[in-house]
Amino acid sequence: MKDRLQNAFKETPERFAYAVENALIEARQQSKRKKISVPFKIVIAVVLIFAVLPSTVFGAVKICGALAQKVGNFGLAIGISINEDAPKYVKMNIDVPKGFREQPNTGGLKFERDSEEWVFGFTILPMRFYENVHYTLLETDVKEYNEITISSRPSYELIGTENYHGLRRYFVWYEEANVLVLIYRGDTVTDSELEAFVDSISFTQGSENDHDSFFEPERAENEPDDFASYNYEYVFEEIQRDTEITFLGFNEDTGESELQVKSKITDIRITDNIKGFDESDINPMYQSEKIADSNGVLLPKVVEVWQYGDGVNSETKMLSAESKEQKLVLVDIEYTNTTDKEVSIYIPHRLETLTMDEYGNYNFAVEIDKFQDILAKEYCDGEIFYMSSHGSNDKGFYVPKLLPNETRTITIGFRCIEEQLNNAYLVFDPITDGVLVPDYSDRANTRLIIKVQ
Amino acid sequence: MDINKFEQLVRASTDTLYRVSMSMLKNEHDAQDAVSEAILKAYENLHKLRKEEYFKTWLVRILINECKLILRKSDRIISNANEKIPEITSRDNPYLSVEVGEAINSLPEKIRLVIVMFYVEDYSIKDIKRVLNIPEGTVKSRLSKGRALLKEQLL
Repeated sequence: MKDRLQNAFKETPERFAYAVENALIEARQQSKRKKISVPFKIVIAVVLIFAVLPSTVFGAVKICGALAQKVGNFGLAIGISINEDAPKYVKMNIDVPKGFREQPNTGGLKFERDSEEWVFGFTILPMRFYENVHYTLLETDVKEYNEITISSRPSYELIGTENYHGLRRYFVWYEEANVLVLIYRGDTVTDSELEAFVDSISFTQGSENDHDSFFEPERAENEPDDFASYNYEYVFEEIQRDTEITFLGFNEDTGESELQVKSKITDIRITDNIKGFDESDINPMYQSEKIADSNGVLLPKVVEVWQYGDGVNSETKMLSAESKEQKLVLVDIEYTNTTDKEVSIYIPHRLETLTMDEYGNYNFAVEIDKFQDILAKEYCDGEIFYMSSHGSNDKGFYVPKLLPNETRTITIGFRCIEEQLNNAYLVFDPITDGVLVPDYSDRANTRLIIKVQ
Repeated sequence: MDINKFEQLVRASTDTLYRVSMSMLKNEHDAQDAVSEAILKAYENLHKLRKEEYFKTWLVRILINECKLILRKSDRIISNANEKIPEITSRDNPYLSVEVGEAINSLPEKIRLVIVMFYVEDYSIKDIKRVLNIPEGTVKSRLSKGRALLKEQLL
């Protein structure tokens, strides 16, 4: 079939190639127009500013961190009332404050300290609103947006959004222009420098050229297989410990997904002693810390609880740090290669602590109060802590190789604080780039979970 | 990247631009418009391209968005005027084999695009994922569906 399809097309007609040449000629002419001398550009800018400033500068500023409110059972929203009188197109102007400069080749979105040594200053992400939008959401659950440019700066045009997660940056609402600017601030930037930077941003009446729709992702609604692109909120689905999981491999020759590996958990054990464990079976990322005492008993873990500030009214601070006993959850997984060739497998299991709310939804236990942004830093290991040896040349923490028709049991382990073991679940990592993918890939926002005790 | 290099890379991509735009739009006039717009936008936004090696992928992504814009406009025109979709003329038929052409054209647009990119343009799964901004699983499922649909018609 591949041959038939590859030879299906006629040669590109000459008239089409001619159209390409014409477009290139136009691009070349544009490039000549762009090469205006710098002083001339300054003159143009000055003339334009004098011409435009008195009547159409939109400078009203509202810092939105203070306005975040809980919405339903979902998350935080920023109260924004859309200014119906705002112009359709706006032009963004930044009079970069003294001591900073625009970082080259960043589309006018990054600013660094004006010094010889590179020091990060600000990153901005402008977002334009239109129609009746009352809530903004920047990191999850985007229902619909267009990627646009405002005065050559990439930005988002938000059409209908809600459910905001994680207010940990600076949001500045330029009310008269209906633009929200997300500002990331460098570690060395002081409050007064931030204030000066916010003041340096203003908007003037723009034209279509300043506000050009560049890329529009497809809307996810009613398209289940696109849903995962824009919805990062997972639905957890608990399965029995001994459920057989099928891994599909993609055959690039035939273009078809085919069964390659089956896996099943055969045992889960909990211990607090790692005496006798081969050091090379411990994930190197944990080897630099002191793991166990001289008898092999796991050392306690210091669990820190943090409250993340909104960047405006509150700062990020540690609320507590407490030493907690740890256990090691060891999981035996039996893998079977059902093909007659060697295959690599990705081990998708992670250990997370989850709690169920009154609606029957699972939430991450470390999110102690997500509306107040109070989070514990990890009750369990984020990555595999222990993995049994599985061959001399293919030792790796993620991708063991299975020989044709081979069945092999691999043991993996995660540390978790003892008092959270009741909430501990093996969670399947939502992989898309894995060597093999579990066959629930058609439900990309579903994460299968298995309770460990 | 200077204009000379830009021109060179665009010319080298001409066949791909033709096949991708024709497979989406089925109309050479619209395909030429989409390609012209895409080339101009690519040039205007060249500073956003991080690595030259991604040029072709990036250009095709812009082209696909241009094609979508045209499709959306024509959808509106057709639905407003309540007209039938015009028959494809021979000039607008990019396929050598009538049978294969009809089979490809009969595929839903999203599946058709993935099939053409994978089988005709030799894009990898990862590149298609990047260009279309969809998950790898979606690319694979569209390929599987497309292949199954083509099999029904061609085998």
